[in-house]
Amino acid sequence: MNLLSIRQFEKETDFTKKNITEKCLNSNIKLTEESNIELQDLLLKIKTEMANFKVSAKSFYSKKLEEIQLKNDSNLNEIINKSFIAIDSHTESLSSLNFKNFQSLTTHDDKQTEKNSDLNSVTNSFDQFFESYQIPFLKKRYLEFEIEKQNLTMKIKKAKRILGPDGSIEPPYEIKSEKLNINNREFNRESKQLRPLCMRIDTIKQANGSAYVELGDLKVVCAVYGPRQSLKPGNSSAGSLNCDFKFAPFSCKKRRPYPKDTQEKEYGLLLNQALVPSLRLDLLPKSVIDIYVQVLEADGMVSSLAAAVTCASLALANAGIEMYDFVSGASAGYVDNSIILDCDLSEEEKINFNGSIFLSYMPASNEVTHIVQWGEVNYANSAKAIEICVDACSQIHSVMSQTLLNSIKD
Amino acid sequence: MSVQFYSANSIDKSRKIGKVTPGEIITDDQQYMRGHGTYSNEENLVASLGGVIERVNKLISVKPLRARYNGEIGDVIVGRITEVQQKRWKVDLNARQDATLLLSSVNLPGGVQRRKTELDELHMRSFFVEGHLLSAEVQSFFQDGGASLHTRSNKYGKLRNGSLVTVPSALIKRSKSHFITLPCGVDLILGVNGYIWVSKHVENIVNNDPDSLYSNENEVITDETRETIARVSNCIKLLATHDVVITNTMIVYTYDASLQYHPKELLKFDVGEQIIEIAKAQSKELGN
Repeated sequence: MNLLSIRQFEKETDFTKKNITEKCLNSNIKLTEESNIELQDLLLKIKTEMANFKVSAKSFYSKKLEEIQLKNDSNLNEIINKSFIAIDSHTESLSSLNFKNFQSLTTHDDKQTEKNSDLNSVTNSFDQFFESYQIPFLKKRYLEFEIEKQNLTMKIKKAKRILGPDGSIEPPYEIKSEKLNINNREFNRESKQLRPLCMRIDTIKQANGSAYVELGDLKVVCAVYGPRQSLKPGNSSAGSLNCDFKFAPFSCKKRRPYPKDTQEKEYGLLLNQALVPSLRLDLLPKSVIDIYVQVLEADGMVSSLAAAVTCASLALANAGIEMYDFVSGASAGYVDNSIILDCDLSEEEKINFNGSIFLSYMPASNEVTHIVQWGEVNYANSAKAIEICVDACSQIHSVMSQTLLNSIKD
Repeated sequence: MSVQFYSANSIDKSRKIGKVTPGEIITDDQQYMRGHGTYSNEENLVASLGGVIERVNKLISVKPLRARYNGEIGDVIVGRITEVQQKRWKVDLNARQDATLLLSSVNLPGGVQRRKTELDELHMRSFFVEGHLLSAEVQSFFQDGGASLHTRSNKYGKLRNGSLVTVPSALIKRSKSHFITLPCGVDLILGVNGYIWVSKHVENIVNNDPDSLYSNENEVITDETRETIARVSNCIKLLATHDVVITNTMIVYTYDASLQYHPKELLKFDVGEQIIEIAKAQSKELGN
């Protein structure tokens, strides 16, 4: 419901008003018997138009009533009925008036001023008729309704509920219509090929141990503090590990706010589960090791987790914390019915990317410390993916040990 | 999976270049005993640290690149009070755990042999409070590996009139004396845990004055002494950045080389490089 429709109706009424007055004027010029006939025709036309007008007005009113849902408003009904009565009376008076006028006009040509005055009276009566249409009243009533609605919305807003607009559509940020072709990976990578790998240690001077890992465009840095006094009260026979995982605000496509969200907390826990089996925490009672991992460029969510495990393990070795073996992490994705190793962000976002697997492995004892799988996959593919990831982990491990050996100066 | 296999012979030869990473198998010979930084895995002896293999007769251990300070009985340390508990203080030593200083291990004002009363317990805060620096000696260890300290000597106790420098603990070797007086008129306490205290020189006073033991007031320190203390602190920091073992001789050489510069210029990279080179050259000459 809007004011436009009322205005339109007003325009239409104005138009018909003009039409009728014009016709009356025109009819005034010809004062012959033929014109009388014409006049009568005109009057008939006026009558029919009025009748039509009445019908349309009634339909208009009824429509508006439905929209406003004021069907039970007896006042309005009364007014409308009154207006209909007014229309009826006016049509009758008008028809009688016109006929009388123009009859007199045919006899008296000189009384033009009178004619004009009569015409004026006709137009005046029309004006009165249209005024009685109660459009202003309707307008007023509608405005009141609008104000009520606004007040209601204000109340609702104060109650801290956010009402969405009716009929809103979410804008499509990314249209996942592209499919991934395993033979068409970036840089002509094979399906079982890792991205170029680079590692450095001793990057953060103030920490006890630190490491930096690059896997293609993915960049992860890790700092290790400890072992240091645990602030938790009570006796503990073994040390504890405290893992902190964070995506830097500039690392992902959409800015990551400073407080940790659930994904980062989850990755922190996964990191903890992956690293704890490799460390000799029984040698560090009442101590705590703090690991802080930050992803500087996240080119793939699951692969950044895998790189974080590698980075943290290298930083722990740099800090001189005793461990059974390095832990290296690898990830793979399931696309249609095949497996691709080390997916980057563009591959993860494709429409036929069904799931992923993340695995951390200790090559010395041939033990997998942690496995997580997301998505839907059949058993055969899952087993195959584990094998592929384990091979990748062994490759990563050789780079890790080489990096550490290079730092030991003779 | 790369498995590097060291036979018994190769360990002898590779004593200089026996570098290992965690998880690497050192040997499978059963005659060797495992020391620090190793663990046994079925038949093999595996390294658990990244570092250099050290062999003493039949004992194999791995010395890491860097490690937290691991105390030994008789070490002279410099520490900071972190907590005041019932009948004991907790001291931060830059180690895995905080060390403990028992009330019974400190000298109470009014004579060494005084009996401990309940009043002493209530007045612990008048001796040491959180944040105070002290020098002490490691007396023993608790079962969980935490050290127990004592200050039962005139040379130990609360530290005043100086500033603290932190260096990696590996750069300070255990020697005969850790209390050094430099010819420039500055006292040094080289804590084995990596904390070094540089202070104004005080003559050895036989201290019977009860109030002065735990006073919190610094003496008057002249501008010259302050500059000397700052210069020595920066020299020590330079030695630490360049991984040079810190001894009193090295500090003296570095100090002499730095006299031409203003103390704050020593923090610049190129100036530091120059000075260290001079100091090293000098130590080689005089060493030979």
